[in-house]
Amino acid sequence: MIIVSLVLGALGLVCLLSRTTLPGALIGIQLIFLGAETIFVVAGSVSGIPLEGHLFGLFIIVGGAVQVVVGHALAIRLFYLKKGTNIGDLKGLRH
Amino acid sequence: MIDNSTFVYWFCSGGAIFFGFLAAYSRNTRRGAICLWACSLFVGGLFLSIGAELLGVIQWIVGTLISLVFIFYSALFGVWEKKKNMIQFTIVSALGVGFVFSIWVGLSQISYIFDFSGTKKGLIDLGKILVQNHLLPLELLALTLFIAIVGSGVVSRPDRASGPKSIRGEEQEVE
Repeated sequence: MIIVSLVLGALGLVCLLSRTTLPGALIGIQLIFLGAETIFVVAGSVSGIPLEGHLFGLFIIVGGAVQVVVGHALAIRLFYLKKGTNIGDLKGLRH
Repeated sequence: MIDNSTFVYWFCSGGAIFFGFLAAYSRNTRRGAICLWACSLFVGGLFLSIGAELLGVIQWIVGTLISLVFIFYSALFGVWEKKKNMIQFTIVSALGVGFVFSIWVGLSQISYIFDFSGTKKGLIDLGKILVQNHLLPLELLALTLFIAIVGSGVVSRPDRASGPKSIRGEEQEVE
């Protein structure tokens, strides 16, 4: 049953590595978070201490929301500077 | 005969994987965001089937809000991505399959029995454990979220012109 979270994590990894735009990469990271959250909740149910699993799942959900906020702020900055959101243009933020 | 909760679990799992696949492989960012939303809905249903009701509802709410943000920003930044390099894409897909296979082989060494009947715990027990045992991580998480929101506001604001200006917009010398 943990195979579900493994497949979601793998799909997120593929999405993160294959996307050329920052919002696309953020979608991949969200899929990875979904996989991690699922594995914590399912493992908590299996181990007989479900509440700890639910709590860590909650922490991961909030962490995912933080990632979306910060990622889109970077995307806005990149869009102001380069008029696009290609991941390769992120190097330009150094200057 | 499969009981209802097991059927719902596998149905939601299949739906989550299907829409996750579409979200990962779609070139259209808006379509990817909609598929991500559907995936998060099925994951919430999966949580409901194993007794994590609170987490399921929270997942539905947060997943919907996050997908709305993605759809909004896809309208702002543009929808289509460049065509992928097929060799690189094939290598990355093989990497994903290898990731699943390697962890699956490792997990098969551990024997476990899935039993979702478990002890029935309610929201009161969840709240007690959160406050008694995990208060510090909760506070750190809230602080992290606050810093991220403030920082993202600073990062995303447009540049201001340097130096003071007169009413007519001319730059003045600073003494």
